[in-house]
Amino acid sequence: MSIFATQVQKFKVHVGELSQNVHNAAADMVLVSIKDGSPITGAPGQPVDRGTLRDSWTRTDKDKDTAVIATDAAYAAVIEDNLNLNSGRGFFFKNHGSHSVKLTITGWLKIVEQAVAQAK
Amino acid sequence: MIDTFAAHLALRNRALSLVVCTTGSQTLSATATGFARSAGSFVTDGFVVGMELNATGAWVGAGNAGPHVITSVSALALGCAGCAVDAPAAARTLSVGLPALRAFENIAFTPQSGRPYVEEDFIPATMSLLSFPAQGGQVEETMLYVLKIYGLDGSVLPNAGIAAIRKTVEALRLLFAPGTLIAAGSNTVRVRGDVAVQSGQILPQGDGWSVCSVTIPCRAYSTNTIAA
Repeated sequence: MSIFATQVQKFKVHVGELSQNVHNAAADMVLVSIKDGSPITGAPGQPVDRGTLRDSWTRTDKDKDTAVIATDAAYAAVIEDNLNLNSGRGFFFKNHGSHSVKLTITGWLKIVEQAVAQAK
Repeated sequence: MIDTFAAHLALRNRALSLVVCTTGSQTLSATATGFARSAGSFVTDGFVVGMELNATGAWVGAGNAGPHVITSVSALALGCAGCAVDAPAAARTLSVGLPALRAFENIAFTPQSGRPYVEEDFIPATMSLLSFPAQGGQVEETMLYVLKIYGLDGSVLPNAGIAAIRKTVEALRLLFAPGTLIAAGSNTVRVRGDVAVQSGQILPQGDGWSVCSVTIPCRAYSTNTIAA
């Protein structure tokens, strides 16, 4: 293999590693944003009483390019949308708040920007 | 920085301008069981069971003007409770917009059984300085405006279905289409196009309501001013 071809191959490997680092960092930031809140997205994080809802949010890697951030808590949607039928108003949270998933989604580009900056 | 109070009110006022469907001003009448017309079609106009209409104009019968929940729909008649006989007359309008009962932020509110309502959340999100120097630089702020439409469920209105809630939600999505510019004081709030307005699943809540959320992601730009 020529020197140039070798250098291109090394560059390809390096870009691949950087891409994987960006992916992993971004996925971690998404999970943190939803669970604990994030100044990058403005998400407040999951309200904590006993920590059941917060701890229910997990990351699962389906393959090297696909991370699934999800919860199995049946009441997660109620907290996310701040629904409280009985009072006609949202809940009163002692800490953190609602709409963290939406804010994380709308802040995705800022997450990617941050992940790229960290990977350089 | 933008005036978030002005931004909140601007978004709310735009939502208040919502028209889901309307007869327009025309000749309409009322009976003890609802509203009627002799020309045109309520079905074609888009009225469906579960919607809350607002009767405006030259209504005379006690209780006819104002909000009514639609319990049945045909081309020439809408079933509504709380109506009184009104002979046909012009300059009357039946329209559906945002529900009359509104749980706006920091306002005391109690849901009323058998009536739809709407709840709002205004969520300021991020602020970034986009240019240099800081003094006089451009600042971008993002925010969410979330409207939750609580419609009647099948336990209250057996044939409610999804139409009333979905049509209201779709009308809101159109009202806040990507790229919509909304004047907010000296700033302009823009509905984002990269992550645009979205609606959720209709979630039964029990006790008479099902809810669907509409999330409107927005951004606004301003000039950064650093205080002395």
